[in-house]
Amino acid sequence: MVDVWGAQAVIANNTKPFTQAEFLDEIANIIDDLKLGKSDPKTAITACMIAVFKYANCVGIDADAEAISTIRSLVASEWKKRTR
Amino acid sequence: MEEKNKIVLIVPSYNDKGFLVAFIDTLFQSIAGAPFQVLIVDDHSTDGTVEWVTHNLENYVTYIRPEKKSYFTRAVNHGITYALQNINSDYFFIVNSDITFTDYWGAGMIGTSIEKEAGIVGATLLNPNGTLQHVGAFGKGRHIDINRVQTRFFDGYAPAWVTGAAMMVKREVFLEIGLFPILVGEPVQYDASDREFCKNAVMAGIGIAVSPTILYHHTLQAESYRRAMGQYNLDSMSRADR
Repeated sequence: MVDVWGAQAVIANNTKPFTQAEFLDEIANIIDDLKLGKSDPKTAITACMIAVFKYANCVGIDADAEAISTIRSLVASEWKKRTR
Repeated sequence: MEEKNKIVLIVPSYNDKGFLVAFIDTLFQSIAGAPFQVLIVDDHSTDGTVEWVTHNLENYVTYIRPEKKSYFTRAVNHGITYALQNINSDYFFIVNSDITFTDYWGAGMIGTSIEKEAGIVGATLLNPNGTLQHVGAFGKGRHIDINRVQTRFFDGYAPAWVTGAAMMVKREVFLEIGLFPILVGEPVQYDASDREFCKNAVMAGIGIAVSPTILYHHTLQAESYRRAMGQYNLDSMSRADR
């Protein structure tokens, strides 16, 4: 028996273009959710990372440790404000 | 209860239908020893890969195609990003389509990751004739350092890097050090992004290990990209230089 989990039907799921405006909107929404208590720091950071990766992939730049560090600081800062 | 230790295989593919047939055949006929899912990132193949996948692999694989041609490293990064967002798995196994599988590959790779506390695990890669191709490497060296092979499964062995032809990475590693670095601009990157990715991991304190799990690596997939672009004259290069 093949041990396949979660297989989906074949999908032509093109990765969509992700503009800078959309990227910034997405980050803002994630931070807003964090501020409003709809999210937690871990979830928010992961969501931000994915947004960074999507944007980096689209514009062809590195999504490296520096970018991640910046995002972590941003989320931590917003989280501090919310829990102050 | 949610299953643990799931693997998502991220398979970049460009005009690799011939390889994919053997890849899928051995993958689904082998005993993985762990639940897995297949994500094929098709980089705008023109050899009928899409049609073959659509007709033969419905309900067995997830298939994505970047909006525009991405080339090898970016195709891998697209796959990682898609999987992070859409697939709940602990391990991301980046694997070339010219790999074929042996039994318990999944359990073996996960076992090494747990046993060695490694965030990145390479496989023992053999050539189709059974000779050794890759068991991790140091520096900018070639894949094989035959004089050191016998030392590689000692407890203390930790390579500097493992090839991206078959590299399993724990999910959290990407959130720590990011994606595969883009080393050279368009159109083709020389395939050293795996080495640089591992270097970033080592600098972040992430362990790298090689599993005794055997996989067969039939050729170097990056060749298909180079051939397509006509960037390299393969006839003038020795195999070890590729």
